[in-house]
Amino acid sequence: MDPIVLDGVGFAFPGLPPMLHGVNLTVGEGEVVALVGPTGCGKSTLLHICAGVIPHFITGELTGSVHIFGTNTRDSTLAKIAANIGTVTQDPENQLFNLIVADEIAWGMENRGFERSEIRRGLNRALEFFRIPHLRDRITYDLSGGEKQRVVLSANYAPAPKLFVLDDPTSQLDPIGAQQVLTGIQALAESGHTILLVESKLEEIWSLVDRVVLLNHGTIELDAPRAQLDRHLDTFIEARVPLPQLVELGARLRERGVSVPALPPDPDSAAPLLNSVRVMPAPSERPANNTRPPRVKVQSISYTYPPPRRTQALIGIDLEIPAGSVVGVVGQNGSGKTTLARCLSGHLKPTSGTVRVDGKDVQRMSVRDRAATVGYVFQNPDHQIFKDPVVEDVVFGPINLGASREKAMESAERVLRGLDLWDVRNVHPFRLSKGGRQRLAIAAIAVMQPPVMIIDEPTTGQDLQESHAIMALLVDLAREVGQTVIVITHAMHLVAAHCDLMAALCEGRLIAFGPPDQVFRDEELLRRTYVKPPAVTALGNRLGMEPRPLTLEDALERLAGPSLKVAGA
Amino acid sequence: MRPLYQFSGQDSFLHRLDPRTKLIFVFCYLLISFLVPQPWVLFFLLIAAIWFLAGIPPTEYYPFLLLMLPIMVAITLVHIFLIEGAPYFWAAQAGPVHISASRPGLHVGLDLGFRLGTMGLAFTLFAMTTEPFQWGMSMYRWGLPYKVAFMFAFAIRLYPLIQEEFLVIQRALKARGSNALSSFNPFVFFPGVVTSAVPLGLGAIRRSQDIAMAMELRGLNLPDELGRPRVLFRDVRLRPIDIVLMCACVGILVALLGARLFTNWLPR
Repeated sequence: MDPIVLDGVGFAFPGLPPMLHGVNLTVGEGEVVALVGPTGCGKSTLLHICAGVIPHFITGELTGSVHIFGTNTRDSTLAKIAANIGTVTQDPENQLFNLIVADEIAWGMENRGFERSEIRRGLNRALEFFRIPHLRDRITYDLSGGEKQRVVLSANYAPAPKLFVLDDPTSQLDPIGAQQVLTGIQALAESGHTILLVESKLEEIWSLVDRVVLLNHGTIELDAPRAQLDRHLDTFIEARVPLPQLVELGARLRERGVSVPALPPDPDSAAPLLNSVRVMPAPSERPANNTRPPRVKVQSISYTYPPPRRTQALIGIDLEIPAGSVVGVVGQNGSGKTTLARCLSGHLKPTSGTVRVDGKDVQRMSVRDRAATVGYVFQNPDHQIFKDPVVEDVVFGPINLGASREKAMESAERVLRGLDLWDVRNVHPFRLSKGGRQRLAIAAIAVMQPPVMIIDEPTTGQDLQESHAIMALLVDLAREVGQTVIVITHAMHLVAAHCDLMAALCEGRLIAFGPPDQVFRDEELLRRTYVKPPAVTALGNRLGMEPRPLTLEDALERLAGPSLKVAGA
Repeated sequence: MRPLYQFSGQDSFLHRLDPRTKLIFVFCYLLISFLVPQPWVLFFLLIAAIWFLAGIPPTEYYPFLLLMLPIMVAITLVHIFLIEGAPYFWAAQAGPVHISASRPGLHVGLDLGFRLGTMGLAFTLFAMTTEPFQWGMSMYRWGLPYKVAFMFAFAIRLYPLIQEEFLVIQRALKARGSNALSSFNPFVFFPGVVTSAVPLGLGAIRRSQDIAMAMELRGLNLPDELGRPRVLFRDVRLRPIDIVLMCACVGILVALLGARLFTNWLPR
């Protein structure tokens, strides 16, 4: 019996146009199916339908039939449907209810009425399966993101369901956390579980998936085995869903008449397949943007957290960041990125050393002066929405800094138009999409026109196109008004594509600082802080391309030559 | 520094005691603090107990002590100036009004301040050494419905997360040029609290929906639907030491109450 059978499924939230229509999908026993699609296409809604959340927890108009292990979900209850499914969503914080890991894993089995001896066996089996026996007695809120999500996976695995429905379980994790979770999912796949998962990092799950289902405009546009995906490049491009960089590179090289086989996503395996391809010289030198005078001067700053934590979060950091540059700060969670950002913004006083912006010590500034000098956009946009509607939230900062309402409104209009939010200026901020709220958080700081802007993970939970759009806006700010933009991120492809400089931190120390083209060369050094260059740059490292390609287009031009352009186009 | 009232996660004599034992201890200790003439002894005894019996030095909960200090000082000062009686530290006459600072006022003020501090500290001891779910399950064993007991424990588990979230929101407010939450002016401070309540409240609503869904998916309602009893993997059970301590607490309380009511050993 097939674990999931959807026949002509459609769904609409009350009073809204249909989110899904005519969805036919069958997932066979032991299959691993990846569900991909642009933001807002209905991926999570489809997973909710498969998990029984729709129609039992979230209501709306559900049409067609949904059978899970042969049972029509309409004829059962959520608790009974869910008893056969392990469901994991994006944020582990919202899926941990107990204080101790062992209690968390045991909880689902307690609810199912397992005997105490069975619970003990299930607990040990789950801990071993996800390689976390050392976490058994730990407090859940003390764990790292990756550990938390593995505990959630274990808690779902312990009652032994045959089907797993996973909604982008690595999207909010750092690289090592994501890797830990993906290893867990790999173990599930290898042990014959049926898995339907949404995963934005298709590159990372490439070897696990049997089929990829592309959802766009509320319906399934493509359902194909993994090996055939590069034949459908246009469908993916049209849907704005990225294939793994090297898979796409291979397909586009073939489109341009270069004779190469299908490329695997891993640069080590792909490089030998491209040995016979001639590498063209780079069309032009990249503009150097670090010759301007320094705006931010960081002198030997160290920071140690007070007891009982006592962690040395920063150790002797020296940095000079030029005006008008975009800098990516990268590194494993706990490497000191956020502590550095908080010291730069004056929210944290370094244990030793100084941070100066345009010659002024940020620690000696008042709260207002600091806000006017160093803008800080926090990771979660929802923590920064203070007023309703959108335009009032944007003028909140300038008015606090003493601007008149008219002047603040004038600046707000300029920024809102620039960030494509002007049309929603009278909407409640919480009615915007996550991407919209993220842009609002940036607008609320950008409107104060600080010479330095720090943005913590501006692209978490965004699709590729939205991420590039946000980064492009930040680059525009830097170029147009000479603002220095510092971006903390785990997305290396964005650092490569948009940043002039990058700083890599490892265990509180600055281990590399320079243009991405240079820093990404030393993969061994970056591995210490779990940073991997984008696949095309890593390929460039293996092929010895000078300078290293930083984007897919870069690599394509170098391997296939510039594409022919129609005059006047 | 950990958020106030957060479980410390250690293993110690106090951590291993049943939550019911600790509740009875806290209750008796609070009553005893009103019976004995030197409540400051109880205050420092509690600090010593938390340190040596739970392994938590005051450096780990000093924000609580810092929070209590101005309240205790304020209570003491109010009583120094309100309570009349010789000997006086200082006295003055302003027209018909007699203003004085008296030694009996100091004693009463200090007593009340330390009683209040002892109450807060006793609750801190309980919160830092009691895992919320053990607390919840002990209430379940006392007859509270499972879901109510579980939600109660879950709310306590969420508390430090909300506290951390509040700190982030406070920093975000500063990043927007507002220092309202650090202001001593109530006309600035309270509007700041209202402003910060927006992201905190809306975030909590959003989060609670996700959590409720995740709980349902993990079978919270399954025992009710299937009519099967819920099995507790880690049940709470009273050990002999718990029963001995409970009896000792109640015994000491009764003895002191008797001494206070029927003898002159404790002043009334």
